Amino acid sequence: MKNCEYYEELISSLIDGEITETEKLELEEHLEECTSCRELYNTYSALFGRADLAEPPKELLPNVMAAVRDLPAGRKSGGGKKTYIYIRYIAAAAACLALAIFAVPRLLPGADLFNNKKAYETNESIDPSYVADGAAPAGAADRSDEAELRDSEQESVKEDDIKPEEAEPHEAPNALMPHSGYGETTDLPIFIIYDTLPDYVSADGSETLEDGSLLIKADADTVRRLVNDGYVFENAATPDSSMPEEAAVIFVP
Amino acid sequence: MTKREEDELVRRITDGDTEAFSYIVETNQKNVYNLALRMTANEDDALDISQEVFIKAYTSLSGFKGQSRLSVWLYRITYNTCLDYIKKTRRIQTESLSDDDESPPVQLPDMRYEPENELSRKELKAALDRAIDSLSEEHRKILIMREYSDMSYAEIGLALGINEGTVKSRLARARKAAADYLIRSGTIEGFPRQKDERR
Repeated sequence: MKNCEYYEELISSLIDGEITETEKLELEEHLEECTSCRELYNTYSALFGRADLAEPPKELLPNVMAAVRDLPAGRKSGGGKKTYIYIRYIAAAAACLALAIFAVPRLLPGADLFNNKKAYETNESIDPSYVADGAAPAGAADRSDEAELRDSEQESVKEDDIKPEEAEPHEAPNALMPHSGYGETTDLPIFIIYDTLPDYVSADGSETLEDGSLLIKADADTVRRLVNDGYVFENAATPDSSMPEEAAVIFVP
Repeated sequence: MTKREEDELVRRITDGDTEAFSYIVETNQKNVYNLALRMTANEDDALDISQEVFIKAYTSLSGFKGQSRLSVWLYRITYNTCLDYIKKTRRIQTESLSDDDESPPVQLPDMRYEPENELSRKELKAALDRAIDSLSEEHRKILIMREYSDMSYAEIGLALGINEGTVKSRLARARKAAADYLIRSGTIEGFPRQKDERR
């Protein structure tokens, strides 16, 4: 005679509609005789069986389609690049930044414009407003744009003045998680994996980073398996839009 | 949509038919959104994450080898994205129910002294969420997957890399663990067999 533990599993399957007719008949017979299992069935019926699913916001579909239509050609499907939802806003922000740099040069004293731009291009989360933090040098207001550019090129900016990972993330509407901060660890596309490594990714030969995470090289086969398992890589350094032949896995235990 | 039709749709999209992607969004947005909502407990975050998931899926579609259904693949992306988001923002579901959180604690009526009263469905679901949060990672993951999406046992098995038999037994154990938690917390009464064991 089967014990109630067997029927508990059948009750769970019945709730989900994943039970054969034979099993269902068997369970029904048992429920007629067993008070405990009958109460368990009643409880499970009340507790489980597909929570009332919420309707997604109406703007989800149009937002997604607008974003994918706006993707640069190299990032179209088949590009395999991680795309932040706020790329569109970054593009607009870049235009504002250019305006701020060339139209209001007094706000950027001592700043190496080309270093600023480079940092901005490699880290999408930088809020362009950070460039306005410096004070205008004396006489800057009377100088031409070209003169300002020449002078700023000659002055180096300390790396501490511009730290993309410390800058305010761009707070666009519906902005998502901040940049991982690992973008400058490697030029390869990056998968960031927390807690548990898939069994096909080996930590052998990995490099330990400052924060204790591991940097693991992934070959083409591993990249394809990771993508197929729902991991998406970031780091836009790679210009090629095809599936990368190699990548880096940052494992954060 | 059959698997074959799905593969054809994917091929069209990767060949450049961007608009065809809208069908994928329309048919999967409810599952993606609800999973994100369950994991973040915040509608705005769930919307952001859902949008991110579909854009990630769009740009990675060429890497989807079609070994499983799109819904399963999207589930994985959603789950990983939510985990990524939670880790980065250091917001863990169990912490959101702690006393330190600013939101008011879930008020569970004391059932021990009023056994005749029944919790409303909404209260019961809130209590169930708390119970799910108390489960082991393995149990929590499979129960959320089943309760907050329309994935079948076969699809769950594909997503988790386990066979259907294991899905069945693991789900049963997860539900039992959740029910035991609710009994211990006094939310629901124990079952006759358990009552007898306590005597």
